Amino acid sequence: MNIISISSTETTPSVSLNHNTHTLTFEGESRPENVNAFYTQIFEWIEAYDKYLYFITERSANKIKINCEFKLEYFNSSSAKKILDIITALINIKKHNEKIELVILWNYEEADEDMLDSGKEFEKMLQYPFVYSAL
Amino acid sequence: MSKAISIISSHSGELNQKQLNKILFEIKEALLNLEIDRAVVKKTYNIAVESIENCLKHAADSKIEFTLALAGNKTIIETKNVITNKEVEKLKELLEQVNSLNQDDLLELYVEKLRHSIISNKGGAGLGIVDMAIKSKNSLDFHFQDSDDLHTIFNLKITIN
Repeated sequence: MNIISISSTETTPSVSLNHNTHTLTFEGESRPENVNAFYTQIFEWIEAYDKYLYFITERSANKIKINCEFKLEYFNSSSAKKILDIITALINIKKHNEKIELVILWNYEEADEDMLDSGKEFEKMLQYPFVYSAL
Repeated sequence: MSKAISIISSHSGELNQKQLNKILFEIKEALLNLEIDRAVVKKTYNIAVESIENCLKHAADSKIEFTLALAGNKTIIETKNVITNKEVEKLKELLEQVNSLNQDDLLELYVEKLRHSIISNKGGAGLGIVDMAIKSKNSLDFHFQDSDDLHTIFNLKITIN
């Protein structure tokens, strides 16, 4: 499978998806003109990653730690759904594979209480603990 | 006497994605140069994006009016767009509901709408409105004005402090 590296634009975040380091990072603004078109590639990668993880954990006793990091400045309400879908997909991967650990890191600018609140709301909806970091 | 109001940004007429990006870039720059609380800067930018996107999503034509103003240490965002008459009742109900709720109940409504929009896989009806109410922490000031037999002008004013 491929490493995905997408540069940020005015309306889309930078995205880095790496199956070798088990890191997913999203940074910047998310208000794509076509939210489905932008996020489809990410969901396709996660689907392939799920299969890849199954393959490598079958062959090794080692645990794998997935780090999914958000460093968002702004996201609109249609992006909120996609962010939830991404985290849900990762939680499902972890649920079905006991060798997987998952860390959701939610960064927010210290003055941006709304970004912190969004993280808390998502955490509550997904019933999965996030790690918070004020920038 | 009320404090002087200065206009930070305004737009009237059609708006495409490229123009929207330009306006938002200018707003961001202008807000960062103001001597106001950083939290107000963030909130104002967030609500500016959401309010304009909301207008574009629901406007019967692609024309919108948008004004961002500074009044003392508050910012005020005002939008105007034309909607079809059949949308008025539902929108009015939502705005009245949102204005009657406290912050905790608003967050609950947001979660409920977000959940519902994921299940139905449709655009979250009213998610943007609820989001703006949560972020502004103030009542949303709105009114409807007849335009023609089929259309109504929807005016929304949000104060951020």
